[in-house]
Amino acid sequence: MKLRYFLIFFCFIILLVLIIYIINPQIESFLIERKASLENEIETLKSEFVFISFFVNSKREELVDFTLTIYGIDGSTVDRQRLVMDGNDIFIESKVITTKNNKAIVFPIKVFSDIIPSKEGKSLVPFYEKDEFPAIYTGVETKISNFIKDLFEFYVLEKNISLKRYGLELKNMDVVVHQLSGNVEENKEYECLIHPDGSIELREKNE
Amino acid sequence: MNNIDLSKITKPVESLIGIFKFLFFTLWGWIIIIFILFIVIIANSKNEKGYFSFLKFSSSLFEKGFFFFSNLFQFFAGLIIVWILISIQPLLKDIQEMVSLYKDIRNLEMALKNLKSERKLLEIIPVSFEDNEMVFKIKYFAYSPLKGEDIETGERECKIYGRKAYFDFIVLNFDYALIESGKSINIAIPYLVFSDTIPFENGVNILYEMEGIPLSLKLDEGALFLLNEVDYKSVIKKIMLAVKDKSFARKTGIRTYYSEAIGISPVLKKKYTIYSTGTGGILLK
Repeated sequence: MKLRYFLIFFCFIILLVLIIYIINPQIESFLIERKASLENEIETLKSEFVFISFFVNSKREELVDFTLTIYGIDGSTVDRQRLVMDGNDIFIESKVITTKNNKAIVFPIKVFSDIIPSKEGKSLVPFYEKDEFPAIYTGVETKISNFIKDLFEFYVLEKNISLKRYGLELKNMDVVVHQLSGNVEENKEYECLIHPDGSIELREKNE
Repeated sequence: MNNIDLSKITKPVESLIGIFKFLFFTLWGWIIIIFILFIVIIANSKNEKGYFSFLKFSSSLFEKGFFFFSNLFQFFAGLIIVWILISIQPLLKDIQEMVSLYKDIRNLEMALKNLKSERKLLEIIPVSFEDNEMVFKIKYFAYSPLKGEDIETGERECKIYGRKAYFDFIVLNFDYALIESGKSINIAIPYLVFSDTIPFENGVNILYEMEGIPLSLKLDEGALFLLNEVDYKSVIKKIMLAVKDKSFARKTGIRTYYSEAIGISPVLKKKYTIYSTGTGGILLK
């Protein structure tokens, strides 16, 4: 009886070793692929697109002189404008459209201040609109470019067009970012950035 | 690693197998075994006087022969066990690597989950819109570590003139390492409402601070985990200090801090929900 149990145990061990040897490369390959995919997903989530920055040239009592730069998706400068506005803080309003698979499109809408209401703010659209296309997204492939043009016309230019043909569940929101202190500082540059999930951040440049 | 490398198993025991094969599968091998056995038997065939005894020789021959053949199985089994032990070494190393890979994956999955996490902050329902005055019912939410969900902390009403309301938040985004490890969650505190016609400086306060704790962070002891109410209040006061002190904010691991507002052109009775995100900032859903 003891010999029988020993033989069963012995065969079991040999079988186990063989099975592990056979499936080990498959498991290892699966784990390596999974790790790379997770790392890639995390990096994508953390990735950012800086679409606007502004440098405060001077700030006197409730008057801010700043240079605003709009950037393209490839990092190029789309437009640069020197603006003067009443107030202590600069408010940047943008339209953010997100798809279900974490793809966000951003269109800067206007700039206003702590003492100027948004209705009286300065529109940013003419700075980057070229033939009813947002020049921020110049260079993207044609299919996406057509989609972005339609989004821009529908949400920003408020044209009566249908987006149903894309069959996407789209969400949109108007987001405004400004300083927590309610004050921008002279000779400092601030930048607005967007993540693929549509969340926007404002930070001091080189922070 | 995709191909099974059997040489990894056999290589360490190739010499052992070689000896085994020579001894048991060649004529010369058997001659050597028989010769050794013969020497052993002869050595055990002497009588008390030291002379060769045929009787002793035949009994020794049977005894050693029986011993040899009865232990053949243990001999083979021993050889195989040695073979398994030697070949299992690289396998153990591989398994160790796999365990380490698995741990990395668990950590990355947790990091991804934390980065993707969204915490409910406000539920806003426009309840009336007359004479250019917008009235909103606002429900506040805070994350309860004990319950693992966002729980309602209070309800207020807010009125403001205009056609579009902006709900402004204090936003504190922690370093990614702290978010990914789950040690911190990004914070967004509802602060002020302004509109398209009412500028920020004349906005309506919606912070509703009580004893230094904003309504959106007010949790009862029953909703706290590992902290009592006094400790929790001290944590919140530290957060509120970080809002005012940039260097203190940096020390506590805050990556970016700013104000962010969500603009709502109200549709009566429609529910607007605002969330804070793991990547940073707030979202309207």
